[in-house]
Amino acid sequence: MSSASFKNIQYQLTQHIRSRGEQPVDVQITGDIEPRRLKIYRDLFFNNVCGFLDSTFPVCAEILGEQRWRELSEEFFLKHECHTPYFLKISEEFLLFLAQEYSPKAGDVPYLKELAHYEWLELAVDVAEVEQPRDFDPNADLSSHVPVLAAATEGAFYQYPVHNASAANSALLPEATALIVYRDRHDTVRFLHTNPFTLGLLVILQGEELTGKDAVVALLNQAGMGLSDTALQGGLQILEQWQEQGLLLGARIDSNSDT
Amino acid sequence: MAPLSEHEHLPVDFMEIAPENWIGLGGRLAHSLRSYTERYDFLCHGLSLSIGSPAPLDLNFVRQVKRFLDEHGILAYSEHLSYCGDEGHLYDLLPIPFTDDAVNYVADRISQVQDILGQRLIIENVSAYAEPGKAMEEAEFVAAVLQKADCDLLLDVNNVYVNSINHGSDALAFIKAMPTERIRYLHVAGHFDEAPDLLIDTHGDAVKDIVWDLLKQTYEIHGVLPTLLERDFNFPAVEDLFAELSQIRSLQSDIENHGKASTNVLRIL
Repeated sequence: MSSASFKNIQYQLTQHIRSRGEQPVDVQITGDIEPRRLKIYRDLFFNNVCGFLDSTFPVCAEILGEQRWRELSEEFFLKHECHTPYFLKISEEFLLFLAQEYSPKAGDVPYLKELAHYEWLELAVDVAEVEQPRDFDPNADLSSHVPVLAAATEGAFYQYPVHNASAANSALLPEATALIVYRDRHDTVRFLHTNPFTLGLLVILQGEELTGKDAVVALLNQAGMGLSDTALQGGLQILEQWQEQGLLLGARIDSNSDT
Repeated sequence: MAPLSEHEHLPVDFMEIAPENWIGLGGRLAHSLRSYTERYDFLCHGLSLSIGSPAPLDLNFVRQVKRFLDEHGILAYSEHLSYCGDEGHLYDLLPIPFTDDAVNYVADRISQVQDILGQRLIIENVSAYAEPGKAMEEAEFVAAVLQKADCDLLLDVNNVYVNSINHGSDALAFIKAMPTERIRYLHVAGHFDEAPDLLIDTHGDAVKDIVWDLLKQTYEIHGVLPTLLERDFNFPAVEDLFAELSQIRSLQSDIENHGKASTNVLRIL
C-alpha cells in the first residue's frame, strides 16, 4: 500500500462526511463499510458543529426557521474550510463563510450577515483574552483626564437595527444603527444602543490617548462642527453617562503630568 | 463548572481539560479555570491536534498548547491517535487506517510535536465505528506508533471495550498487548448501546459493569495506574460522579494500596 493510499482513504471519509453523504465513499479505496456505520460518523460530526452554531447564533436560527437554518449549516459544513482548532472560534469561521461562500436565497433576511456578526460579538466580548484595566481613578474628572474603557469594548455599525431582530420582528427596515458591546467591571457582557455620531467618540477614545475634552473636540472637528460650549458639554455628558453605564471605568490620573 | 464550585474540596487527585476550550479565553471563564489550576493538578486532553491528518500539522497551534501548559503548570498533554479532518477541520475523531505507512507518517508527526513541547506526547486509543483501510490489528498499530514515535499511551479502557464489540476483536488481548512501561494513565467512561454489535462512545452515561471488569483486569495486568473518569454530557448529580470515583479507588485498593483517581467533568466547559 503506497503512502498516498492511506491518505486517499482519509479523503474519501472526510468528503463523505462533509457532503452529508452526497458524495459516496468509493469501496474500491476504503473497503466495505456498513451504511449505518457511515451514518453514525456523518451525524456525529455534523451535529457537533451544529451545536456550536446553534448556541452562538440562536436569533439567526430562529429568524431563518429550522429548515433553512439546517440547510445553511449544511452548506457551511460542506463549503467552508475551517482552520481554527478552537471550538469557540467555529462561530468566526461561520462569519467568514457568510462573507465568502454564502449566496442569499429568496426569503433570507437581508441583514443576516449583520445579525450573525452581532450575535458573534456577544461571545467574542465575553471570552476576549483581556483583563479589566486597573490603572484608573473612578473619581477622576473625565474632561481633563484620559478616560479608561471597560475590557473588550467593541463598537459596531450596522445598516439594520439588528439588536431588535427576532422571529416576531424579522421584517426590519434599513436604519443606520450603532451598538457598543463591552464587559463591565464584573465581567458581565453589556450592550449599549447609541448613534453613529456618538460611536465616533468611542472610536476616538480607542484610537488615541486623549483627555475627555480633547476627544470631544476631536469628534466635533471630525464632523466639521463648531466648537460651541453646548456641543462640548453635550460630549462630556455622554462620557459621564458612559461611566454610569460601566462602559467607562474612570480616568487615568497621571495623564497630564506625563506630557 | 458551577456544580463543582459548591464543593470546597473535590475528592480528586487531578483533572483534565481540553486545551481547545480554554486557550485564548479571557473573562469570567478564564478566572474560574485559574482558580482550579491553582488548587489541583491538571492534564490537558486535546481534541484538535489531528495527529493523523493528511494535511500538514498546525505547528502554531502546538506552540500555543505549549504556552498554555506552561502558564497553567499543566503536567502533561494527551491527544487522540486519530484525525479530525483534512485541510479543513471537522471537529471530531476519525480512525486512521491501520497501515505501515500510516504508522511511519503518524510517528514522524508525533516526534515533531514532542520536539516543540519538549516533553512526550501521550496518545490515546480511540473508539471507532468502522476500520477503513485496515491492514493490521488496532493493537499492532498502536504499539507500533508508540515504539516508533517513542511516546506514551493513555489507555482508554472503555474505547477498548467499544471497539471489541464494534469490530469483533478481543478486548483483553488488546489490553495485554499494550506496553506497560508506556502507559501513563487510563480513561474510563460510559457508552451508549446503539445495537448489539455497535456501541457509541458518548461519555454521557455511567460506566458499565463490563467496563469496570475490564478496568480491574487492566490493573491486574499493568498495575494500578492513575485513572480518569470521563463525563461530557448528560450530567448526573456531582455526588453520582464522586461515587464512580470511589469505585475506581476501591478497585485500585483491591489491587494495591495506592493510586490516583479523578474526574474531568470540567471538560466540556
